[in-house]
Amino acid sequence: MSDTKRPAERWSELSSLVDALLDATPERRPALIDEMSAGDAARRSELEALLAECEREPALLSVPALERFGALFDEQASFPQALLDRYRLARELGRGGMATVYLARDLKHRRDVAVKVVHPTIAAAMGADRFLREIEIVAQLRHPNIVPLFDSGEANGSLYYVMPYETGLSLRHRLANEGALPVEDVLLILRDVCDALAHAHARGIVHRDIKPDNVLLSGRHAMLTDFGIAKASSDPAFRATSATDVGTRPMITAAGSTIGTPEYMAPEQIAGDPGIDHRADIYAVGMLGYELLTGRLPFSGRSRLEIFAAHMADAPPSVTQHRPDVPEALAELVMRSLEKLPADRWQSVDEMLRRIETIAATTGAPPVATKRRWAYAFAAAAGFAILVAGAVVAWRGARGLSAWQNRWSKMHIEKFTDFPGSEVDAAISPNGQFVAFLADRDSVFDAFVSQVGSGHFVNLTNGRIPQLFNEDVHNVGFTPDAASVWLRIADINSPASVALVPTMGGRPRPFLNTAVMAMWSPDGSKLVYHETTPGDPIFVAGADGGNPRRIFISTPGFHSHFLSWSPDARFVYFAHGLPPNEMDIWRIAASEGGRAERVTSHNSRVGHPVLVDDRTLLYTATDDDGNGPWLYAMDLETRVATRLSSGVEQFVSIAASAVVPGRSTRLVATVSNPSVQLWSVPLTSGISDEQRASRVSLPTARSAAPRFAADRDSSLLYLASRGGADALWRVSAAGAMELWRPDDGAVAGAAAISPDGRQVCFPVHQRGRSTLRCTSADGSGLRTLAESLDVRGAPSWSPDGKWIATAAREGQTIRIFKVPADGGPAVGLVDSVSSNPVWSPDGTFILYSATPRGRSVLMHAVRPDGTRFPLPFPPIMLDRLGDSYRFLPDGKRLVVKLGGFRKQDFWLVDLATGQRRQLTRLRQGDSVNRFDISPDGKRIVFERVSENSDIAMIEVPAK
Amino acid sequence: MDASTTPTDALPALQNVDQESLDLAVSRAYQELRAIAHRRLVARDGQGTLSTTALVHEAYLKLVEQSRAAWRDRAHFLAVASLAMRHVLVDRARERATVKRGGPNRNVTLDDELVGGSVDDQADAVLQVNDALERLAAWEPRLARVVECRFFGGLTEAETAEALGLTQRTVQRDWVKARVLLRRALEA
Repeated sequence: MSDTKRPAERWSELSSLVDALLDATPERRPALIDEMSAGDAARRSELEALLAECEREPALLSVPALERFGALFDEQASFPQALLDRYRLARELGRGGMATVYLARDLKHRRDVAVKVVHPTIAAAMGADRFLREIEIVAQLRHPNIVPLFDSGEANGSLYYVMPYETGLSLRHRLANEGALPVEDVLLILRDVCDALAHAHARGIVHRDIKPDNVLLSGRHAMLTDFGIAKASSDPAFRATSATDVGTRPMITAAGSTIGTPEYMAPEQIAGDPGIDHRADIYAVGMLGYELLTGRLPFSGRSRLEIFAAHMADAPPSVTQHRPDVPEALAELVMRSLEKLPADRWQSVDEMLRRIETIAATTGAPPVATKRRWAYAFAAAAGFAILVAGAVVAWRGARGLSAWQNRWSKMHIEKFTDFPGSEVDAAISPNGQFVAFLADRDSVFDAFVSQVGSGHFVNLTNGRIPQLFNEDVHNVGFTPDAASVWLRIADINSPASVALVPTMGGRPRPFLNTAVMAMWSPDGSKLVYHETTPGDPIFVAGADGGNPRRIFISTPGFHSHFLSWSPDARFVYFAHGLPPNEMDIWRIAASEGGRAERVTSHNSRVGHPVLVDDRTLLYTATDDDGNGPWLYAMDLETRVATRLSSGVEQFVSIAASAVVPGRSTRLVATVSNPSVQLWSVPLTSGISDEQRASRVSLPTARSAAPRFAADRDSSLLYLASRGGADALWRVSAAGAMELWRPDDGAVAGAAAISPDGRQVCFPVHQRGRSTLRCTSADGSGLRTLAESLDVRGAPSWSPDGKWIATAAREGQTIRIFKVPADGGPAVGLVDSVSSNPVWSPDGTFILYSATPRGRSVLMHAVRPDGTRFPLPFPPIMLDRLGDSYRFLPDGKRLVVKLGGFRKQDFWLVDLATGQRRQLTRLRQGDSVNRFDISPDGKRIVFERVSENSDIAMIEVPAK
Repeated sequence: MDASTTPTDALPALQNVDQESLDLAVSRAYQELRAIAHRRLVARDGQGTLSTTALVHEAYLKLVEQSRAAWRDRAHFLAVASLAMRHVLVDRARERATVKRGGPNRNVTLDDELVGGSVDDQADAVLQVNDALERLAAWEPRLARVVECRFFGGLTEAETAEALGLTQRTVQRDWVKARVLLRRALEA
């Protein structure tokens, strides 16, 4: 509101209008409006609207503020104030019938913790003394499958206990997302839960509240938590009091807080049997197993009393009735746990454990040895795998094909394009006649279309549409009749939309206003698309985009991309997760939506699901080392995934024509053979152009992520590989040498060198997570820092050598921490999404990147104590790929990377004035990722990636 | 609590009171209301709703009992309590906003119910309504006081009239006008 007069005038006019309207009696008001509008229809409707507005109480103000905004208070109200000097409250994590759980910072031990505060009504019913005594007993439990207890007690009349903050989800979340779980996963989970209970039962402790909410998943392990209502059966008080709290008063409060959870409560627990023992837990484990195997509970969905009655009297339907493929022995294990009389159940969890091991061994699904399953699967599919790999090599003209044994063997692969630069995101029309793709042949990305066999390529966009390519989503495709090509239209200022361009060329016309992509069902009658609003909602609409119906939306922060229909149109497959590198393929029923089901389990850069028949899913995925993407196939019946491509060619995209029985299916793939090299460009008072840039001569095929050491021989650390995973290398005047190489996994980011030059820290990615490792400068003496941190990107050392700043994933967000260099827990620096920390040379602040916006990111700064450090110049949008900023040695100026996709340059920024000037004019078409400034401040060494991709066409003959 | 925003103009019940004792009064009401709000919200255990009116009355009885001298009359208290209640909510919303993680703010409108809204949404809404109310107060201070009493203080029309020294009919009229203008202020 720059002009303050106008709203004031408008307001006083409104005021007098309201007065005039209200002064008139209700009957007279229509006539008054007639008079006041004097025949002006617009004026009339304005006045009528105003009158309507006066006559109704707006929703927001209809209830007093404190009630309207009660949730604000609730949380503050129940978090005990007395704890605030020990724990800094961050936010509420969850709220149940028994207690509320908060995320808090343990100020003394500098760690994040979950603080569980028992609702006062529950605490009152249980009695504080007893609660505390029981907690004391539970505190003695030490088991890898039991979430430990850090602290507990009473504060401000509330009972609380403090546990480690587990970023993993609970089994309840997994059930909600996936429904029934695979048999081998159920065996794993039951084994872990029984293992934990064996430990507790051996100490006379009964958990009494086993349910999916209380089993947390941490990697492949399940951990039992919440012994909040556990009973120590050896405790004399136990027998004396249990009858009153669970017997005569199963429902303690009007608020409906029962001790135990009705759906999982054993009959004797409901009956308040004073002799309740560990076999009540066995009953609940049975319920848990039942739910994991069938996705449902035998007694649920009715009133609490009915559930109680069913536990007491009804026989649960057999597990196999809901899921016939459950091994009989496993179904028996569950059903026997659910016997009404404790004496008829398993008598100990040890007995159950032995049983679980036997089942695992005999069903060929060993709970621990999942690798064996994969090895077996791989062997079964090896014929397919090797042949496709051979074929990919063949079109490169390197090798002939072996003899084919099956359908896949008759596959014909040929190179479709031979443009300079990159071709990406290829699509093929349903009839297999046309191919569309994006290419940067003419310097920016344009959409091209070609009729198969013609050899002619038509540029549909001719540089008219900016930012056509986003590597995280589909950008191009065909309408069912192949008459038009759809394109994703987006720029930084507006949400994505979809436009149609005639396949023969012509003007784009708007089609879907808020969609990212458009995929028609195989019969062309329906359309599926997603939007970019939080949670990437997925819609199924009519063929013209009308009548959209939302079938899926995820938690904000998670994304759903690359939608694809199954040939029978029953399912929509899509890539889901945290882009770009923590994704998997999921599917959801196209007609009714509901729960999405996870199909693959890579948790890497996964995309482009394509169904080439009713049981074969093709997709692209990077491997655990971050290499790839490679082409994978999954047999949907056995859920076995196999990597199809071997060698170094990467599969950037894959798409298929319509699957029609009796007709061959055509696939188009973008195949890339990128080169990653270090280049050097002088930092001068002018602009260095491409001619002044030179490749750094190194003995390794791939060299990346440069970092200068401030030592005498100005050596340079970098990441390199000789065909395998990245290792840490050092090059100096004496030559290049490998400094450290992981046994499995890969070095996942640039190294940080300590100020005294004696130590090096770097992230290492192994088995799905990354940890911060440090060695001496010669690569010896490996140690891990802040083991619990799942780190991301490159670390940065504080100039005093005491701390290392790094980004790490925590739950659904990535934020930055500082880790003591001599070991000890990490300290959070920024509460919001943040990454890429770089410590200033004088140690007073740390630069970091805030929430990314597409490819760009804003730079922020924080002081080492976590307070915000104001950056004195107006914010700049930086290119966020790799490094975005590095300090010059004087600490007063920064070199930053600006630009967009495959078109980046370096600029110099003065931190005091905010003035900037361009430093380089590099060639376009390559990506500039990570970089560093030499200690003398005279050159920039940067990582340059040339994609070098082409499109291949694969013809799969009819069955 | 930012005492500098405590307006004494257009608040007849608070006129002729020096700023220091007004601050003290608001501060006492603030502490008490906050404490009562805590207790009551805990007691309802996520089930029922809380009556602001009952809360203000309980605070009144308690404060009158504690320090009879501090309150000139009930009208004085009701006005102070409404102001304090606004502070209680805005402070709490600010606390929330500082721990909030990411995500863009939504624009709140008067048609929002915010039922089932997240704590973050509620914090945003309180702060936006507070800002809009400040804009409104710059032009129509009396209307802003009416909103403060009716919405933040949960006072009835009669109590608002008592607190602000207005006729009930004026309060009715002002409340309608305030809503119309507040809607515009939120959109601005």
